[in-house]
Amino acid sequence: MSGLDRLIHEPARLTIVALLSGVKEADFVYLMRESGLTNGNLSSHLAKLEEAAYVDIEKTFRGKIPLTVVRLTSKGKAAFQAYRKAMNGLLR
Amino acid sequence: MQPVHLDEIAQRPVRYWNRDGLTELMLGLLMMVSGGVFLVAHALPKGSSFSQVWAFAAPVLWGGSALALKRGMFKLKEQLTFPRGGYVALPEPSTAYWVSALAAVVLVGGGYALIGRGELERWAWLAGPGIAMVFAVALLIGGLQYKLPHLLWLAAFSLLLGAWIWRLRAGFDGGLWVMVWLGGAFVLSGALHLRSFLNANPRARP
Repeated sequence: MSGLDRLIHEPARLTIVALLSGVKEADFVYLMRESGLTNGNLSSHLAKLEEAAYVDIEKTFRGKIPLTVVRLTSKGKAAFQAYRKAMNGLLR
Repeated sequence: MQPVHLDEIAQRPVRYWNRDGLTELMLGLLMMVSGGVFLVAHALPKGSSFSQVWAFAAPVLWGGSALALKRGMFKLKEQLTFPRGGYVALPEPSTAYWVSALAAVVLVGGGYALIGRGELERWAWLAGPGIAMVFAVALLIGGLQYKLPHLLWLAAFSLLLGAWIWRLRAGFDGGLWVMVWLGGAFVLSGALHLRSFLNANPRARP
């Protein structure tokens, strides 16, 4: 288990990263609905992923409504691929 | 702790994208326009001035409809879907996707052109069942891959439609009627999905 990326291994963050792996970008509302996390929980997990440069967060407005768009960075994609590879190796 | 199923989670955005029925609605309309445009072309007397005008108008009408429907779908998603379930942008299709799509268009279009010119007249009865079979296989694969059961119903409908057209021996027009009828089924299915999506996801108050 020592080869696993501990940051991604946490189930909530793994769900967020897996969701982002299937999209070009997604907003906060979508991630909250699909992951089942609360507003505060999602914010804190996203902050950790952003700190590790795994995600890129852009805060804009759609009309007068604030819009937070999240994307997986190339570092995040590579980390997710490596995590999946490591997990497959463990399960084999 | 619940186990995390990565493949299932990674497929959720595609399922979400299709949940509102807008893709089906627009695809269905495009299929109806495509079939309709060529049915009109085939119905016009050969060599008439109408036929010559239509030969120029039809591709413009078809291309314009395709662009308008794609744009319309994104506008409707912005207005109806994203304020309710959140915003998602799917990745751009891969080069392999575009190459296979182009190959399919060239194959089907080339086949139709040859049948239309009478060079493959004796195989014209295959047009309807053939197109229906191609759609059925594509819908079956999509339905199973992304766990969208209504696509399996549409695949079954496409097969039935193919069998019906085959019985009629409808010739070249058979394939076009498959497009029109299957397009209608897509529109109906899309409209039902849109209605249930809007009912299940009321717009959040700002």
